[in-house]
Amino acid sequence: MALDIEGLYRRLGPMVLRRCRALLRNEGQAQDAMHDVFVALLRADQRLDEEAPAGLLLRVATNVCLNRLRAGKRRPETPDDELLMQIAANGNGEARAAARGMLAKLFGLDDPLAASTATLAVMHLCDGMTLEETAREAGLSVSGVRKRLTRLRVRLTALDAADAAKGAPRDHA
Amino acid sequence: MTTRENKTPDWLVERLAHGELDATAAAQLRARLEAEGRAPDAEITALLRADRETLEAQPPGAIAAEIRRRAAQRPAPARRPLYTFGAVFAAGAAALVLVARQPAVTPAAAPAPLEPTRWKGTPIPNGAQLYVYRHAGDGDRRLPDGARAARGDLLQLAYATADGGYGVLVSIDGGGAVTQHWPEPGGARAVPLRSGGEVRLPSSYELDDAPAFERFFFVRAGESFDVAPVVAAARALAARAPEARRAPLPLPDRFAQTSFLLEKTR
Repeated sequence: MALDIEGLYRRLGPMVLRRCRALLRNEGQAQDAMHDVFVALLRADQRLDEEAPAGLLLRVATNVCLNRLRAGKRRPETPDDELLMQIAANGNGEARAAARGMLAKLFGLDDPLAASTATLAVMHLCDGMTLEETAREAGLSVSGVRKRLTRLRVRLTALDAADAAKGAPRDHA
Repeated sequence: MTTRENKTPDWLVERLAHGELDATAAAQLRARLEAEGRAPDAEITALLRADRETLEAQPPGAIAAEIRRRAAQRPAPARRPLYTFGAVFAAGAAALVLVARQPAVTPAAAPAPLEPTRWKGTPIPNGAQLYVYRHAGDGDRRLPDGARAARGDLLQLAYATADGGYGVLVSIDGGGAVTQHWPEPGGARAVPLRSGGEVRLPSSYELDDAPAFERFFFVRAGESFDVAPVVAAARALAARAPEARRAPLPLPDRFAQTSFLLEKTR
């Protein structure tokens, strides 16, 4: 059965827009990203698990926004922005890792429906969820989330060390 | 966006507002909000009011039309070609998709190598463990043995061994059919295994409409072995309902085996 995109937007579109605004801090980009979230759902269509559509859409919105942040390289305005941008920038590695998964095979490298490590990091580090909450929301094990976030931290630390060696702070602009 | 180390995440409040939390989780979240001096009902009301304002400013009909237009402009990428197990393992471990009882098809671009997930759990029984994940739109979820599954479900398979060795993966179903998954159909020898962690086969398996159940068997031995005796044992067991649901494959003791049962719901 085709996805009722209008009904889904009516029910959850405003929530998605709030999420995109919170992550992107740009009204035009947030509106665009909100559309992209539903486009992604429309494309995935029958593969959706609709038991918890709000949770799913929040994850998809997070992924879409991270992809946009990575592509646009917006200059961070706050320390939290800095963290968000670092996470987004690291998504490139995650995308390569995701290529080994089935989702990537089905949808492409920057699959917005995949529960990427970057998305998990935003949930835990930016949204402030506990590891248990992050795992529950992502449908993963706590140990799996911990492991993926540890790997991300290692990558972030390595990037910071590389920047420090160059004698300049990271510039995301 | 602000970091909220202690404050209840907006994410969870949104899910509460949209009625997605079960009664226990909802009560816990409400209590948490109240402990922070927040009024759950007032916050939910504010979210719903904001929802209405957004919908008034951006009517669903117009937004949906724009979404469809964008989707049409950027059609979904074609599903990537399916990989054969043979091509994959000949290339040194790689990606493939199996579709139940349909031949695997066109080789694709060289996939990335498998990345074992280090295993830290309880000892692996009989030297081999088999994991089955169901793919959903938001990720893969590990299924428990005996889980319910339906035709069309996409399953991701994974194994773990403590000692490496060689393995074969087959399944039997409620219709008495046997499917050889790994190595690919036609492959005559067991495949070398990686030890020490859970290794997800870069594969999915689409359940077909076979009745009653699908039971996967992961058979391992320290030395290389022929696939044929394993398939023969699977055929023998598949013909013996109802033992086929629980009995082990009739194989010599030198083989370690583990199985995973899925009950078909339709």
